[in-house]
Order: sequence, then structure tokens, then C-alpha cells
Amino acid sequence: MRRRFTVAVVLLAALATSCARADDHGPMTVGALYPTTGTLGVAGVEEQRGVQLAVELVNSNGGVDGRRLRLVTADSPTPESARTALARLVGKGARLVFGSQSSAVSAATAVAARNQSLTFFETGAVGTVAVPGAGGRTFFRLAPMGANLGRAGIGFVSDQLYPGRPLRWAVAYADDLYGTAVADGAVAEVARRGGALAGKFAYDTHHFDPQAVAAAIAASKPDAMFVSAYLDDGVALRRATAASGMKLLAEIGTSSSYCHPAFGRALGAEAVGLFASDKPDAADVRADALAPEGRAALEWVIPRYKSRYHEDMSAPALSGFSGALGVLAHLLPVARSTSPPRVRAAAAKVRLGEGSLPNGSGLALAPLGAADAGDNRAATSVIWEWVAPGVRAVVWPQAYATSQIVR
Amino acid sequence: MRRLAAAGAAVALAYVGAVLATAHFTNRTVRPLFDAVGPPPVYRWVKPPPDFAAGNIKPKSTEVVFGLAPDALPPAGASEDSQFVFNLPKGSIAPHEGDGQGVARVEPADPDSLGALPAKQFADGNAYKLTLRYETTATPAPVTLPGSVLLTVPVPAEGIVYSEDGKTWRAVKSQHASATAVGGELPGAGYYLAVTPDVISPSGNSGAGRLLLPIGFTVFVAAGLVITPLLLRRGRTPKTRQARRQAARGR
Repeated sequence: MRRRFTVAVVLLAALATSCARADDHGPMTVGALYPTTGTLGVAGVEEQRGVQLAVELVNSNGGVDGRRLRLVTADSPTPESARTALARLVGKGARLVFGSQSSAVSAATAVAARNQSLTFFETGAVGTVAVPGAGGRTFFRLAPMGANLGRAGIGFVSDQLYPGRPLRWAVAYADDLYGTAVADGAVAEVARRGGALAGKFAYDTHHFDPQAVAAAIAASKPDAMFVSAYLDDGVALRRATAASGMKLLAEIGTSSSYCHPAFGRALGAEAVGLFASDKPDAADVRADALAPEGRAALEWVIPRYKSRYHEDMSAPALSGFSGALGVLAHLLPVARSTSPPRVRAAAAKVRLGEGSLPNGSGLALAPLGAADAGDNRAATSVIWEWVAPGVRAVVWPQAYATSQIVR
Repeated sequence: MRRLAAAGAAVALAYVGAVLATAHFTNRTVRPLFDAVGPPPVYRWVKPPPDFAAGNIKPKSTEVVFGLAPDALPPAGASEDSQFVFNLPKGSIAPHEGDGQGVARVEPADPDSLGALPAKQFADGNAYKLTLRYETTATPAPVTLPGSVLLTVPVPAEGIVYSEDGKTWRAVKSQHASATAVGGELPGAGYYLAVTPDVISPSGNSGAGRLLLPIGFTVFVAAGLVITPLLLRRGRTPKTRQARRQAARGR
């Protein structure tokens, strides 16, 4: 009897342990969910390449806790496709997913990740993700928050260009997750500094009348203007405001338009003197300003990216690489698993100083309970300026500046 | 309005033609589109999934008038938001006594209100009902030559299905035009719907649902650990017990 009982217990125990997640052995699977086709595809592909290279760098250093990393990918060209894309990644064994470059896709992915109890790290999108219960649990943002880009833009103009001079600000923005998040930060910073707000000018990108928006802005008589736009509407608005004869002391935009190479190409000399608050790209990060590990990673990735993809590493690519590297090389070795509770616990512990990652960022994910829970408080942003026709440079902060301010 | 619709239709036709021709001559799927840094496409739902309900703009019905004279432009048109674009070849609508023009009506519809789809296929966005009639007599205008249709979709589509009556569907020859568009053949008036192998339901599996399986299994194993020895004990035959007692006495 005793022998039969023992055999039964052993069999049941063996059966139970055989159900341990396959993730606990063999390669560690991580997912990449980016729009790689459609209108968002160009930047999505670049950001995903960055994640791919981060996986390769970590594997070349022995993997995580002796286990190799395996990257699985899924295309999510629209917000509506995020859930099924995430389900595909889960089907391939991923419980930790990087994405998504677009604020709209990010918000949809954050909902799906929360509902499926997965961990989603946003490497590029800056728009606010208002998904109850997600921030700091299943959603983490490695890129700068949109609101911080807005604050940084207002702060730069106020402190570096017109210190001590109160400015009257116009804030124009695309009326969606991305545009609103950045604009809200700008407006909050104007208020915090006791500045005057000439007006907020939201517009629908799908029914955009740049002349009408420019006329409304001109009528508010601002000294300076902050713009969170996409490329086409950003270019059109700039042309319309210039044509309106409005005289501004300073004009600063943000990602997806004012800092984009195509913005400078479209406007040529008209862009010179305009500023942008955004993430840096690889060609404009000063390696000497980085911590040794950030510098080593940057020097590892730049030539590889160039030789493999035959182009310079863009801001989305560097953002994907840096964010993923922070998680894979620093957070996962503490978690030792992609299990969401362990990743969450590691996220609360791991802290990297600014400059530790190759885009100048550090890692300090805001804890649960904080208003910005899950957001990376050590994400770096810079101020760009179009210093000549078609030429942009980082002009602030000084540690990362590659040019003097030329306006 | 007609000129505008014709111009738009010509562009759409040229696009579909380029897609089909390039795919045919190069033997590979292509997307002759230039991507840009812009806002994500916003789909207009008749009945949006819950997570996309906020800010949804419901699509409206539209009507396009087309000429029937031999020198008239071929019938073509689009829904107000261009999520549905159709083109018919010249001469595809026969002239009709008492009518100088025809009317095409495009009406977005909730796919759930229509007939069941083929197995393992799910609606990818709205269905569109295309009605063709002669303007003055209001009699149906039959299509004698097939045309083409281009549907904007919220998720990459597998193809297009067509239904004459909104009850039974059949697949039409289709071409994956881009991540957010699918083109196909237009056999006539009726319902058109893009389909995908994945159901679009942003609510997804709940965390609680995912936990049910491991919890259930753990309970099963625990119950097994408790019940198995009891069953083994009950399974002991009196003869065996007696034999053991005898053996014990004999020691």
C-alpha cells in the first residue's frame, strides 16, 4: 500500500511540475509589437530594428541569466489590430512585449496587455495612456512622456532664450492622444511659471484648415508658439503662420514634425531658427556625455545599424534600442524571468542614472501609486534647432549639445 | 459633384490597377504607397468595439448620380469618408427607357445585423450596401459587367465577401492592397464586407479568465493528492486485509 501511495504522489507531483511555464527554461521569449506596415510603418520598422539589435547585443554578452533571448514580432498597423497582434505574440510564447511607436496603438496595446496580464514596455510613443490599473503593473513607458516634452520646450525658451521675460504663449496641437499629451505639458508649464496663455488651438488632423488655425493664433497675439503636430499639418501650419505675417519671438515644436528630417526638407530656409523638443537620434548623441555603459552600447550599435540597414540610426531606432536594452540588460537579470509579477518587482528596484543608456536616458520607473506610475522619470529629451537649411542639431542640454543656438 | 466623384474614382481605379498590375508582373505583393509621418488612420464604425467607441464618428450614407449616355463617365463613387470606393466599367449599366441617369447609394451597415459569415471569418469593419437604381423610374439598375471595390479596414484583411441579399455570403476575388485597404471584384449591387481570421474585440481575454486554467489544475492536483490514497485504501479487499492480519499473527 505504502509503495502504491508513494508512486501516486510522485506521479501527481511530476505532473504538477511538468506544468511549469516553458518560459522558465530554454530561450527567453520577448515580443515586439510595432506598426511595420501602413502609414505608421516607417518609424515602426525603425523602432523594431532597435529592439532587434538590443536583443542581439544582450545575446552576444551571454543572454539573461545564461538564457538566450528570442524575439518574436507582430505587425500592428492600426490601434484596432493591437489586440490580435498581442495575441499572436502570446501564442509565440511572449509575456513581455515592446511596442509601439504610435500613441494610439500604444493606448490600445496597453488595454490588451492589461486584460491579458502581460507586461508592455512602450519604447517610443509619448501620448498619455489612461488605462486604469495598467501603469506600473502591466504598462511601462521608457520614452519621455509627452507632457515632459511639452514642459521641456516651454522651459527651454523661457530659461535659455528669454530669461526673466514673461512670454505670452499660443499652444497649437493635433487633437489626439499624442498632441494633447504634449500640449497639456506645455500649458501646465506656462501656468507653473506664471506665464500668460494666449490660447490653446486644437485641430482635427483629418479636417485641418491651416489658414484658419493660423488666423486664430494670430488674433490671439502671442509672443511665442508651441506646436505638437504631425509632419504634414506641422509644415502646413508653419507656412500658414509665416504667411499670416505673425511675428513670433520663438517657435518650438515636438516629435513627429518639427524635429523630423522631412520637416527641414519641406521648409528649407524657412525652418532655420525653429526648435523642437524631442528624443535624440544616434547621429546627434554626444558619446562623451554618456556613462561608460551607454557609450559602449552606442558605439556598438551605430556601425551595425548602418551596415545592416544602410542608413543612419534614426530617433525611433535609437529609442527602441535604448529602451529595450534598459529592460533586457538591466531589468530582466533582476527579474530572471519574463513573468509579469517578477518584471514588476524588478521595475520597482532597478535604477540607472541618466546617460546609462545610449540615448542619454537612465531608468527610473515611477512606482505604483504615483500619478505617473510606470513612466520612466529618467528618460532624456533634448532640444533641437534647425541651424541651417536642412541641417538640425541638438542645442540643449549643453551636455548633449552638438551646436550653439543660432537663431 | 459628379466630376469630383469621377476624379476620385479614377485615382482609386488607377491605384487598384497599379496594385494588380505590379502584383501580376512582379509576382509579389506590393503596396505602391508612400508612407508618411502622420496620425494613425481613424476608422469610422457603424457599431464600434467598446474601446473605440469614444470619439467614433458614425459613417453616413451617400448617393452618387451617374450618366447613362454612351459618352458619360463610367459609374463610380465612394462613401462620404472614402472607406468604400467602387468603380464600374463603361457600359456596365444598360440604358433604360425614361431614365437619363442612374443613382448609386452607399449605405454603411453593422455586419452583426446581416447573415452569418463563413466559418473562421470575422467582420473587418463595416459592411457596405451598394444599391444601384435608375433615377427617374427608381427601378433597380442591374450590373452587366463586374467592377471593382476598395474597402478601408481597421485591421489587415484576408479578403472581401459579397452578399446579394445580406443573408448569405460568398468570397469575391480580392487583393490585399495595403495594411488598411483591401480591393476586390464588384459583381453587382448588394453587400460588401472585408473579412479577417481574427475577431476584433479589444476587450480580449481577461486576466481572471487566464487564471482559471492554472487554478483549476492546481485544485485538481490537490484533490488528487487527497483522494488517491483514500481510494487506494478503500480498494483494499477484505481478503487482503485478512491475509495481512494472518501474516502479522504468524510473525
